[in-house]
Amino acid sequence: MSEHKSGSMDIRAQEKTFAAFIKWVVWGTVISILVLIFMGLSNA
Amino acid sequence: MAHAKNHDYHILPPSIWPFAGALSAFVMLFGVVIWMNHGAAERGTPFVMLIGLLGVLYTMYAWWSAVVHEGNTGDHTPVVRIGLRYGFIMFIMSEAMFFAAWFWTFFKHRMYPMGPMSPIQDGVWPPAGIELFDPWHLPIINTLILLCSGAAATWAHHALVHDNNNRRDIKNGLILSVVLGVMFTFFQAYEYAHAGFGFAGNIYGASFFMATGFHGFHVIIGSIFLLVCLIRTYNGDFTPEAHVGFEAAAWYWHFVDVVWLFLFAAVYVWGAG
Repeated sequence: MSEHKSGSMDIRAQEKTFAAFIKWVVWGTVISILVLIFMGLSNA
Repeated sequence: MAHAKNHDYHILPPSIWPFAGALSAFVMLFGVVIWMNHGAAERGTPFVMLIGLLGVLYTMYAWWSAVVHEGNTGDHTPVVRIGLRYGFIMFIMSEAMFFAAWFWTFFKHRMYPMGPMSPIQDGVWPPAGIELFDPWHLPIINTLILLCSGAAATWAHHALVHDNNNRRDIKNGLILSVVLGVMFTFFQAYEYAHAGFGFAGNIYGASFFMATGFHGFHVIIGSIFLLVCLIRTYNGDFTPEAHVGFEAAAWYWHFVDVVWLFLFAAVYVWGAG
């Protein structure tokens, strides 16, 4: 077995998961803010 | 070669710092309790709390130094950097929820102020006898200072990633962002010194100082974070590909910026009634 070269690992799957995580964080944040604004306005 | 490493993940060696941090935090908490709850003695002493605080500060210094060392010795491979980003984003999300709590209490009291007839009839806002800040004097200046500081941090980040690792511009951008961050803190202290209301005895002062005070604390932490990045830049750290510490500092600083914009709009402008 040849010695592993640091930084040579295939990380396309991890990058894809991270991109999906960022997408959900952004959408989650936007939706949360919209819900809060709606709650504020409907109770005003 | 059953134990040969065949991946890029960083397997951490045993470290004393989680234990040292937990022990120091416990001593600090215990010290706070005996400082504030001093029984028959006329006043408590902060001595034990200060020992714990020193332990916490030393742990922070030593642990983060170890992480910087890992970064400089090649342990932060691309997949490890993804993990560090996950961690920092979730940390910022927890910070956002922390501030959401302070906004929540401010919104509650701004929209439904308590009074002698509550909840049949709301009280008055702002509470009687409270003299508020004019948002268009020092607070708007502070807003511009913090936004300029965020722009300077972005300038430094751009110089690192997109301007061929331009070290001079990275340093100038970071110096400017730190100086502006310190200016913000001084102006905030000046504003506090001239407040027409106190912390205790009224809901406005309590909500105002908790929200803006914790934000100010975060500005101080962010300034130190950027200063550490500046020192690391002088030491030759960071490359256009690998600069997670720098990225984290920039994210943190922008987060502090955004919280201030909400504070300015909600507490200073809308909160003025």
